[in-house]
Amino acid sequence: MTVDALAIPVGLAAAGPPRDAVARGLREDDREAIEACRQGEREAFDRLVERYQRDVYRLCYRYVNNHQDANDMAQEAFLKAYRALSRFRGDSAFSTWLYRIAVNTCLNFRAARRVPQEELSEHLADGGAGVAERMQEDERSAQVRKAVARLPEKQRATLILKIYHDLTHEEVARVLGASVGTVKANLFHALGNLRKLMGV
Amino acid sequence: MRTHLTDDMLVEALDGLGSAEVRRHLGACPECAARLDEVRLGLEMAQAAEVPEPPPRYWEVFRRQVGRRISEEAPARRAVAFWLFPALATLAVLIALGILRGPNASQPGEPAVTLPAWSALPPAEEDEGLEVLQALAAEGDPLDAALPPQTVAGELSQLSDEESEVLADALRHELTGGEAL
Ligand SMILES: [Zn+2]
Repeated sequence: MTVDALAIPVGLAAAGPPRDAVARGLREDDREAIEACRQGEREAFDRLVERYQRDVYRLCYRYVNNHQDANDMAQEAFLKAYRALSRFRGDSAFSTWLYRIAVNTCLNFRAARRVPQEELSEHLADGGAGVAERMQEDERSAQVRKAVARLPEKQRATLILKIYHDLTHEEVARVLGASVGTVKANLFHALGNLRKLMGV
Repeated sequence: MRTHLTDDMLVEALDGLGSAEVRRHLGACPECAARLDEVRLGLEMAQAAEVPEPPPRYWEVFRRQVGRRISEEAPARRAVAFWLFPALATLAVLIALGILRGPNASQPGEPAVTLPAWSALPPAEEDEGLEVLQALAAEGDPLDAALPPQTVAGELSQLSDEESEVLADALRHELTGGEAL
């Protein structure tokens, strides 16, 4: 490796596959929806669900590695968020707060409840020229997802939030209630372990 | 000899945030460079793994389900939790007694009772709700605690999926678990 190679970061800011939403300060439209919810307008919560359901689902999916459990965990996370909305202080992005709830929900999840099974994604069934390549890619993705799901829980949560949700180390630390140093150490070990689990 | 880079420093280098000193070290130290390459490989593998995208209509269903669960639980949760379990235990026992012990149901050689198709049930030994129901059912004469049918029916119509599962499990147990029947 050369010094020059470091000039091209392969880190979180690098171009690559599309990432899940980036969480930063409290969005104005989130603030409005939260305020409306607090004043009893339950439908306003639908807007928050619509805005974040995909991110929360994907976060949960990364964690439990199957559709049914991801669906259950994501719904549970939104329910918990709704119940706890009065305690959201607004000093972070709503998504960061929501991710914390989702991660906690996943951490409490008993994996033994269901036998994990890979969902056959519908877009695979559409035929066409690139099917073989896509299937190969999907197979590879499935292997990596399985390996991610086998990581120790804190490492898994750190990797998911950092790699797939583009949170900063500080934001991951807030979500997980850990120090920034711990987050970095967990990420380092998560990536090393992932590589080992993939047999590379 | 200089100390090697810490895990923290390597993670920062991975992010392209390493200091000039870290970069110099990496350029000169094959061990640290190799460690960085290893975690970079892990990162590249992680980045390549996509989550299967559910069909577009899924999100609408998801949103509706969340909304429904919120609407359901706001008024009903506490009241149901308070008296639902005795009611379900009673109902389960009533059905067990009233149906299974009926004149035609207790004939020897009857075929095994078919489970309802909608009972997605956990194994009985893992189901805490079942223990609660069994304990409640064992306390005293269930017939004394029988509730007016319209009350039970009304409550049943408002059961959440989770509560329906608990009920289904109790019924399943009563219908199949008691070998003595
Ligand atoms: Zn070194």
